[in-house]
Amino acid sequence: MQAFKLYIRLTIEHALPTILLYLGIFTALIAITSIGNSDKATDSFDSKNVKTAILNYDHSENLSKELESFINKNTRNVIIKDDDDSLKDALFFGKAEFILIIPNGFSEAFFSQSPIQLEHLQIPNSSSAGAVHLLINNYLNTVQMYHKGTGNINYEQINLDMSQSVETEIISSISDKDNNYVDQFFLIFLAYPLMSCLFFSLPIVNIIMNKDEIKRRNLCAPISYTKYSLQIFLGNILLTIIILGFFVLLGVITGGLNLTYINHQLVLLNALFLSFAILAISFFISLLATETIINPLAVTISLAFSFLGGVFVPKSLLGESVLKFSVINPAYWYVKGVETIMSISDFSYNSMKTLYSSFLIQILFVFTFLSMSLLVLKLKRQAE
Amino acid sequence: MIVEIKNLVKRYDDLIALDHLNLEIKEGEIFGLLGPNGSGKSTAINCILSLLKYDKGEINIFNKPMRPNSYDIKKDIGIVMQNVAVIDGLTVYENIDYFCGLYVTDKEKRKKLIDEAIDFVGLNEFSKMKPKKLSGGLLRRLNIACGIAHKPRLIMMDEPTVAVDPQSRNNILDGIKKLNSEGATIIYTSHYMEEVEQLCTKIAILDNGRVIALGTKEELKSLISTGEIIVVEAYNLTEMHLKDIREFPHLMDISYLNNKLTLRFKSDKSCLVNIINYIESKEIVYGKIYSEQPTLNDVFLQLTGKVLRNNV
Repeated sequence: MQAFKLYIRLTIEHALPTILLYLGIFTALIAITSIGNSDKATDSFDSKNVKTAILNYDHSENLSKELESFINKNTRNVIIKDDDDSLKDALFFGKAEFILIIPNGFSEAFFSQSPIQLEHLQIPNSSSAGAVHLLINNYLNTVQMYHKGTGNINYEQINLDMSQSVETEIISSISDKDNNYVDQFFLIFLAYPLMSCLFFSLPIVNIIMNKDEIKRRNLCAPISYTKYSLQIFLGNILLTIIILGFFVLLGVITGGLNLTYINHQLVLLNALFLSFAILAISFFISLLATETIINPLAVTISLAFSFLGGVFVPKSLLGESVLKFSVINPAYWYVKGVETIMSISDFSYNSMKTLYSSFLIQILFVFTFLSMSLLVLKLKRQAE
Repeated sequence: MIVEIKNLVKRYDDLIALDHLNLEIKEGEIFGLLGPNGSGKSTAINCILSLLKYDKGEINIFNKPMRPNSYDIKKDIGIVMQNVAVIDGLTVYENIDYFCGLYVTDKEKRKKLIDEAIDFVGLNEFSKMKPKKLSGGLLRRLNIACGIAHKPRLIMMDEPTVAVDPQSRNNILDGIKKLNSEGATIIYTSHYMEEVEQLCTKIAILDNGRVIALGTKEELKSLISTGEIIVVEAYNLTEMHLKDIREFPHLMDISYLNNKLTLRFKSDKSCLVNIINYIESKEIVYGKIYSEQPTLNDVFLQLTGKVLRNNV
């Protein structure tokens, strides 16, 4: 494992300072943002005061009525007109912070194999609205659990369970300094430092280890080139997991990630796919770039991926042409994945379909760039 | 036989880099591959090491065919590349440790070997320094230490003294002799003929991918007709004097330019005493007189009509 040990040694030498720098900056950013949020949260946040409007088109069914009643009990109910302009105005003028639309047939479809999604509108980046969203998710998950477990749904019991859990949730939300801030900031913004660290650290070590004279020297030794390359690749994977691990740990410590939530576990999986996509792209870049240009290249690529992928600005603010271009950007699929995860109300196949496609596309990036790397390696060998 | 090369042919499209190359290298030799740039020295080394595929021929090392996956052979070969192959991020010690570790897995044994290699190249006081802080000569020494630390039976040195100052070069050459005296067989490529003359027990002169002469340096020099060259700093030589000198036995060529008389004699025939006697008898005013033996460059010149290298 001589090549693997060398990889680790060179990572410590060349990449660790950069990783620590990014961790430091990211930690500081989280600290600053969470201090700002914590003041707001302790002074004014109360989920029971979130102005919520419900448009229920599914009057005939129990679930819809129970859900409506549950939300009304746990939020501040407001009534708004049921037309597009009124909905937009309500959000714009702050009359409502969260609008839930229960489509016709929702209750019936909820218990079938092809559930209909709830629709909602909310004030962008509103922490209160996020709490309501979480509340609805938890309620529906509990109903689903009862349905699957007993086949008989006791709404009174569910309401009782939920009222206790809501209390806990609210307390926990306040003490965690606002979960929605985390949803919007930590989970999405995580892509940028993660990509920067990976783009800075992976290619530089690969470039050093694949310098012509070092490679030729290694080929003279009693170690096969495949074994040597595999050891380097293993080093790449380990470094990727360690960097991701750093950020996960940071998220857990700062309260940005709660791995007991299924949503956050899925975000973690999403981040893992993004990391591997970046690993594959870095591997490809390291075959073409030189030691001198890799740092500016890493800055450019990670910033470009972040801007065009919706990490720094909401995707809704990006132009249509930019979004078209963004489909070849793994950060875009990561952000899309996070948004899908945070809006999922149940974990059935249909709800998860969009998420699966985001995962799949990120995996496709991995295979595409690894295949391209193998092709470049082959061409280089032939040229030699 | 340590290395046996039979009818080796290597083509780069239309260019024939190695043209039916045949070589036999015995155990304990310092075998010099001498030739101008582009003569095929490095190509030959790369083929021997299986770094390059060849079109035709056979290479046996330690009496076994050499293939890219002949790891049992590779573990007994040391290589000192023409371009310094060290890792900038590692210290001198760590560099030797890395390359030695590709051959020797036992940590304790490796530590001993690294210490010996550092001693051998005289880098003790630099062992904790990184390559970027080393001078060119020290860097070359590190390159050698990385190649020989595992104590190989066969060491290939591809122009190890390129761009090295004279003092470091002498240290390196002494080191190579020491390695040989400890039992290693060495293949040494260079276009510095003085080095090859000083070091090698057997020499092959390559040109256009072919061996044009092979033997000890004495055997090679005996191949050519040129023998001793006598140079006299003589003043006011007349045509009469030059006519007399032209009558000297075994003289091949005479020139007199800027008070410098150059006499070229046939192989193995020394006439220095006769020249001195003649000058004194004619009371010719003279300065320095010196005699030069033919060099490998003369051998190369006579065999190919080209000079071995343009700059020394």
